[in-house]
Amino acid sequence: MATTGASDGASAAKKEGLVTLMSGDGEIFEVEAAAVAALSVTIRHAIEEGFGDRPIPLPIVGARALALAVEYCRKHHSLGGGAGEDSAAYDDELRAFDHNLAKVDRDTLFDLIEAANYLEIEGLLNLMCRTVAEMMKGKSVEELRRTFDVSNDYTPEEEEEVRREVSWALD
Amino acid sequence: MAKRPLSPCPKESPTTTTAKRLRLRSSSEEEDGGGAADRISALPDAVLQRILSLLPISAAARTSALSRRWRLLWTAVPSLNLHHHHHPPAADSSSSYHRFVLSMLSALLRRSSSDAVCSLRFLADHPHIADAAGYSSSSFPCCAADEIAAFALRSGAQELSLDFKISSRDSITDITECLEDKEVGETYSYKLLHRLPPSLLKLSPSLRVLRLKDCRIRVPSAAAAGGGLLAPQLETLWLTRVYPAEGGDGRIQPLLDGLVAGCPKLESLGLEGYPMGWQRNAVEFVVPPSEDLTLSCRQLIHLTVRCCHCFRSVQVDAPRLESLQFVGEVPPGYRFVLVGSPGLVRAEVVYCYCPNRYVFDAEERRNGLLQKLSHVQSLSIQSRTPMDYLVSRRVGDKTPPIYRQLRTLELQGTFPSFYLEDDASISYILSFLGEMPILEHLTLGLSSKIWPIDSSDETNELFVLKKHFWDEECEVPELEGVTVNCLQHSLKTIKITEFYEMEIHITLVKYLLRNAFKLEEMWVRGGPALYADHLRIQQELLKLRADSSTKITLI
Repeated sequence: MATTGASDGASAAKKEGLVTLMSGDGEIFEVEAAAVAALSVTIRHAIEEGFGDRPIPLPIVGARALALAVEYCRKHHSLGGGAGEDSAAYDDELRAFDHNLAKVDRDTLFDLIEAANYLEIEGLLNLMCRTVAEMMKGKSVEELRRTFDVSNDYTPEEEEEVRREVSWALD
Repeated sequence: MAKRPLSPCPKESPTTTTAKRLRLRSSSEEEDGGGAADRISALPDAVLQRILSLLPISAAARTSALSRRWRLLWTAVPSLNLHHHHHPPAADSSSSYHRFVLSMLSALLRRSSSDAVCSLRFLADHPHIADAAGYSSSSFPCCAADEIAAFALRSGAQELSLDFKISSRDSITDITECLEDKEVGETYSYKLLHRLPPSLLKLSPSLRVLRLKDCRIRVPSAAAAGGGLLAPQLETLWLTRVYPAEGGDGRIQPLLDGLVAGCPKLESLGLEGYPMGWQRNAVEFVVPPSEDLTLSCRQLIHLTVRCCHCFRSVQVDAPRLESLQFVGEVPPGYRFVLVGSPGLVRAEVVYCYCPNRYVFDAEERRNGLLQKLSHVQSLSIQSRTPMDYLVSRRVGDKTPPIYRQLRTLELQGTFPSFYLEDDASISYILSFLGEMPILEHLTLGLSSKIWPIDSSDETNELFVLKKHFWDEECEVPELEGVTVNCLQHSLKTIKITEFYEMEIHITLVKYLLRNAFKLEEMWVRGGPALYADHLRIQQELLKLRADSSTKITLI
């Protein structure tokens, strides 16, 4: 880790209400502590444990996914967490944001699932799991393997046995 | 090292920037030189199970054929969505069904006893609906539900929903795989309903929530006699079109008595969907009786009675009741009587509307239920016309209920009335508010007299006249001797929905804004026809209370 980057991050974090996050690939993010702490259990705990003025290391979260996750927290904090729960306009905007976020390509989708799981952002994890479930619906075993590049390690005999077990679900 | 400013996410949409992301993943790039990485299989078990629990059971089970990683994943999801359908009545359907049951049972058996099934939902479709005459309730797949439910109960399920509805959209809205199902009308009869084995109800030591839909049951006789408990831990019981099995006299009362007696911890009860004359379909019952139902349950806290039209009267004796939802006919359809529930806090009353049976001079009976609710703190009334609760105020020979403790009131589908002049409508609603001296929160669902409104029709009288109304001096008719105390002293928030710019709507909003002295916030939600005029209406509203701290929001 570059020391200059870390010390810059430390001084910046002293600004009111900011927290510094470091992605697995070493990028530094300065974000509003209130927004991320409200939605991410992991970051909330890190802040509570005194990571306030040091960058919080998030080893398995890539910069791209972290940026999207932070954006998700901001949006949901400012629109969903504020006074707006009675407001239809806020609901629509959040729905549109979520809908748009769910349209990412497949690799980003899995990055986001891993990020949301690690950061414990319940809403984001749910959103992305729903997206995957939608992609799985109505697909045969072969189609599922193709769609998700699942590598099949069954021997032909094993696969035949499993297929017999769940034959009721295969038609 | 890259250092990002406060906004780490560029303005671009996620989809346009993610191509670059591929290059950032070093770990997945190195794997198997060939095709793309198997990202999904690398997810943690808990995440994959979360995904699988969102799928219908057959789609979840299918994944076990993907690879060794997936083989047993689906059997350990925390919540099973047991919906299995669209099997054609082919010759081998019974064996396919049999495999399904065995597979389900063995999947359940693989779980350790501590990892108990906590929630089980079964929606059964009847495959032979077109051939109703040859139908027998033991055919696929209802008894699969019985077996699995019995097994789930033995293994400690806490929540069980058994839905034997013949495929119809209202019961399957949350199972998206059914969307391609053909619509099957409400053509089923009592005879077609699945008969739930009595043993199922005896085996429920851990059950806390039970929802039954569209079936026939007989409560085990030991419990009916008060000897044995059906479900000692059961807290929530919801019965939707659950009829007594043949052999009795066709009354609901013994069924309900048995269930209530067998569930000593029952706190929440729902009774739903008993249509008028359902017994006519049940040739087993000689006399179609007009039943008087008495529900007596000392520990009950929440009660829902929804569309129970087959009863002549429903009498409820539940001294600890805190919340009540009543959906039913405007009397004189049937009587609903609360014997005494001093702790009732919340009540919701929805009056169904039967045009054929609507009788205009029924104010006294109509008011009977509302009078029983005079001590609640939160009241919601939904009705096609405010006459259902307003007109009786002026009938006058009975003291109207005074809601001394009411803080929250919601009136839906009220304004204006088809039967009243606009002026009268407003004065009635104000005198209704006059009976609520400490009301703090008011929600008013307005309506439009002409429904549905054609927003594109600019010649529509309503829209031609609207601007004129804002500038008119509003005239509220005299309120004979009524002081609306809550307007002066307590009312803090008002929500208005379905606001069209009709004269009566504008007059009402103007009156409330000018006379509610303690008002802190008002929300107005316009009807869909008004979206284009959003800004103008917002300005008109703000003009009405320009010099005040009241927050006015137009949604």
